[in-house]
Amino acid sequence: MQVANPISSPPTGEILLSVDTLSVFYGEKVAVENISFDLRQGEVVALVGPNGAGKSTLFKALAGLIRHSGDVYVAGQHCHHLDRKRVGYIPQITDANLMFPILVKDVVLAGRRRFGRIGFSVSKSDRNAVAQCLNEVDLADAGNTPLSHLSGGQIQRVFIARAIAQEADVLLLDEAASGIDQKHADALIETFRRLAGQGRTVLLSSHNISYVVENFSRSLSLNATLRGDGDPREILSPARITDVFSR
Amino acid sequence: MQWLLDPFSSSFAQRAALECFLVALLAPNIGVWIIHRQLSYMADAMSHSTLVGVAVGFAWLGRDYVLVGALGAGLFMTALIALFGVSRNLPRDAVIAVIGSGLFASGIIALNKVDTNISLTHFLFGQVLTVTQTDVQITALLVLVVLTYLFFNFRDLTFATFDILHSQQVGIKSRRQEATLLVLIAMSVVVCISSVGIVLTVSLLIAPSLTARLFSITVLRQCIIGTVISLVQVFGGFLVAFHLNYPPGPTIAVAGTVIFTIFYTVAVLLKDDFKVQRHSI
Repeated sequence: MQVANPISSPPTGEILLSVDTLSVFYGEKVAVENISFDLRQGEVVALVGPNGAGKSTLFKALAGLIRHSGDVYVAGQHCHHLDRKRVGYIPQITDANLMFPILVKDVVLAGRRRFGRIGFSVSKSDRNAVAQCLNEVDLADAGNTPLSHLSGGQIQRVFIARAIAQEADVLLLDEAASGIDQKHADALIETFRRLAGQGRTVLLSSHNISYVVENFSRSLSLNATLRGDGDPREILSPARITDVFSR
Repeated sequence: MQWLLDPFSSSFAQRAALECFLVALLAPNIGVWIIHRQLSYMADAMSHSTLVGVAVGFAWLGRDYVLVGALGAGLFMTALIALFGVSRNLPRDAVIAVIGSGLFASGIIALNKVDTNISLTHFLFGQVLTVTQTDVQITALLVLVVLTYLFFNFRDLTFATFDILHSQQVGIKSRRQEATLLVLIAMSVVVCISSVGIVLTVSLLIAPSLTARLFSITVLRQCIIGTVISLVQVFGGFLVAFHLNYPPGPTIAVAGTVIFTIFYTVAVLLKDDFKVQRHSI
């Protein structure tokens, strides 16, 4: 398959996220086991696996939302699971309460909560930060728009803006490209490129193999354990794909 | 004008009006969180469960302290839900149904055993004209506590209600917040009991907030519009009940349903984007 312009991974950037023998168990059941990998600053990497492979579980563990064994280091610092505010977890759209009446700017403002309680009236610095973050995802004019008026792709960008407002260095996007059309998927790739250019690291989960092969130069394949790490054209080749999608 | 002022000429009616005002102020502001956190059934079951507290409060402390007993029962119900509701294998609404109906039935039994000249219907459907000075004082205190918490935690409640996972990531103690919210709902239920009674409390908590949702793009606006609607519902219902000699509690509850129906119809007829809004409610 031809790869037109995959997102390149700088081989020389500093290691921003380091995962060492991470495991998550739900009672007796293994969700993910013995996961180890490093992500460098400015890298955009895809995490591939079938439904139920543990992609969301791994993301929630990395974001400190569920307990796990093993170690996680962010920018060389060992992080307790309750202190992962530099890791921005961007859930699947359906994980948020989309019935809730909220403006785009207020969603992004939630990222600023990392730095302390936000009062009834918002400070000028927080307002400016929100405007800047929306500008970074090309939604500068959407601040006063109700979130429910946006498309799925735009909502994903709002969530990315929220993670930027949180000043997260590592962005974990859970199935960000699923359920959106080609135009918005392309726009999302452009957003990743821009974020990588700013020194942020992006890890995006997907079960869409062709999307990953066409757009990424590094991917991790997961099915409870890490099955591969490298160029998706190699680790997701027909010869190896069966190993990833069987358990 | 006379039609408006006549009902409030006596001291007991003025006390009732003050009680109604406090209830109308509180109900929609806690109601928006009940709606968006899908706790309407929980609030309904909690209001029913307070009957046992009303009976015990009446027997042990006397008429002036039935609301204290109701509050105790509401908090007891909250604790039971927290205790039994943590199991992943049990649907939470089913747990609420079992505990709520059990406490409600216990209340009926207890009221039968308590030597009182006040009938069961008095508690079930409210009798705002009989509220005492102590009732008003307790209500004022509870309203102050609930509204103060909601004001100072408005942003955190907004963030956590919209996306609970993210709220945890940025440092909001969402479990503690949820537990606190349940306690506040118990307090609010107690406040509403005095005006519309145990059975109809949920109409005061839900109807104004739900009506306001039809015209609100933010939760703050929903609170403000809901408060206006709530005042109209409570005082409108009170006036109609006085002049037509209807029971005030049920009349206030019916007023909430009528207002919702009217505004829903208006929204369908006038708003071009209502289909979008309707899907998102």
